[in-house]
Amino acid sequence: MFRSALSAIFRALPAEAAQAHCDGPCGVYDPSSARVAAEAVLSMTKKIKAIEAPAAGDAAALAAYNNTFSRYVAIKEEEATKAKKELMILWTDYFKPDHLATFPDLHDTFWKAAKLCSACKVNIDQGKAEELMAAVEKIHGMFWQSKGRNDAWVTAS
Amino acid sequence: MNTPLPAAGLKDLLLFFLGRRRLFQVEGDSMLPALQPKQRLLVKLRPHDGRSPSPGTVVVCHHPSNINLVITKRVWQSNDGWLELRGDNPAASTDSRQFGQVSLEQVIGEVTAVISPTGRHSDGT
Repeated sequence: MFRSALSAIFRALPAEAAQAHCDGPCGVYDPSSARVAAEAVLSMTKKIKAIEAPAAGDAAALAAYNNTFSRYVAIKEEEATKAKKELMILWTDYFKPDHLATFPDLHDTFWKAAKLCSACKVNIDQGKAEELMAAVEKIHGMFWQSKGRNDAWVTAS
Repeated sequence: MNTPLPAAGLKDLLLFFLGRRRLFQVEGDSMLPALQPKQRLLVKLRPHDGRSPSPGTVVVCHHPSNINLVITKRVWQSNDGWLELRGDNPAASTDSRQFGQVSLEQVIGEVTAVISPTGRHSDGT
């Protein structure tokens, strides 16, 4: 009786929050988010390379060209940023120091993959975009192996 | 090592009103089973004598990279003013395994008593 009255008082008093959870959505991680973004980077890189410049003096065609080119570049930038963010979440939140025993090159793999995201943003470089896809595929393998699974690598395109 | 935390008593209430204890509410599952979500904690403020809480102590501290975030974790190891923290429920915890050691300066205090989480949770769940 006394104890429950005391508990009721404590529950009625204002309390500050003390967080006791994970930064991520409680263990829901999947490298497919990074894969989709990396695929978009590769796709946009190819599209940028494929668009043809208009003939000189055609103002309307030049405007359309500039518009399309800008949009493609903007999407490439956005998706490369997204890929980097998704990789960072896997690297810093999902993977734990214990995983280094199984994957001694874990840090190097993520570091290089993050650098490739930057290289894909800065340049129009299909080779780098393909390297990024290969790095994400490697991370996909590590991730599922760490969970004792062997999920197949699939791409959308 | 993990002795159960005592239930808060009248002495704790007095110490709270005297400003010697702070009241916190747990948000999340990372300290299960010791601390349940919505459970309230009485925290004794850290003494400024440089003494580190011993391993096994549950502390409330500032997140090392986000000063506005207050977290509660258990001291795993302490050495030379730095604490290695862990959640009791490692699968649902972000702790020193990710954010590294926490400086003693970031510790608000140690949990000395808990309020039993009986009754309905304040959010109705």
